[in-house]
Amino acid sequence: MLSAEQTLAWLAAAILIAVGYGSLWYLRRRTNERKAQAIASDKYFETMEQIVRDKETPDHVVEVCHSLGVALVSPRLGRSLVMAWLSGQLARSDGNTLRRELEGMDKVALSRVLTVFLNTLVASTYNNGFIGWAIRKYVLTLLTAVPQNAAVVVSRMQPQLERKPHQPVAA
Amino acid sequence: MTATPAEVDTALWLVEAAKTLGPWVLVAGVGVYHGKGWYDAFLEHRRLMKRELNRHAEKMRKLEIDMTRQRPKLADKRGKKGGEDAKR
Repeated sequence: MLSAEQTLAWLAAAILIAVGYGSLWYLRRRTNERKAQAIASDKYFETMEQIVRDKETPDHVVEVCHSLGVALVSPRLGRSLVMAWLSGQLARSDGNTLRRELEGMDKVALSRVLTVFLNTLVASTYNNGFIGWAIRKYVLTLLTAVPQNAAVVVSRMQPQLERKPHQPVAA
Repeated sequence: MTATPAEVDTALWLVEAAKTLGPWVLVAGVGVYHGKGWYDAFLEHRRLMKRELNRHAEKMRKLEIDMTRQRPKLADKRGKKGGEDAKR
């Protein structure tokens, strides 16, 4: 039989090994998530180029889309989404000025704007490894059913996206 | 074949040592076996994160320039030099 100290030692070792394997799994998952984030981010910039050049898109909408660029690498939007979802704000939102403004746009321009919105929301969820998957699973699936709802979410999140200068990070 | 008392003592000592040192030997073994993989995964993740941040900063700068050229009114509103200034 194991003594109390030996039992504790085996337990501690088991915990250490589990933490090691867990962190390895988490690191690999985050690496894959970063790759997925790069794809969503590329899509954002690609579509933004088209939106900026398209003179039919109103300046206000371009400004909103542009301000979302900050959210691509900021964890704030992800956290705000979870808070809005938990407090039931997302479920209660059913119309606002941005959504009405989008309804007046032609289909091609609208699909570009919604692409930007959705890609921003998806990319921002990859900034947080713990709640990001929950947002994708529970919040963003609501948006894929009705993409126009992305406008409601974006307009709710927008005041929290303060503009900051972009500083490159030393490699 | 019968074990001598000395052999029995040694066997019991070995069992006791395995019970005491076993967990730490196991931890060390797993550490040596997976250590490099763990460190590589950590470095890869850090490298990707920094690359993504730098790429984002670069692309945002390009987007700013593009917006200043294509949307002078918006640039003026945001305090950037647009229109004729941007062309020059």
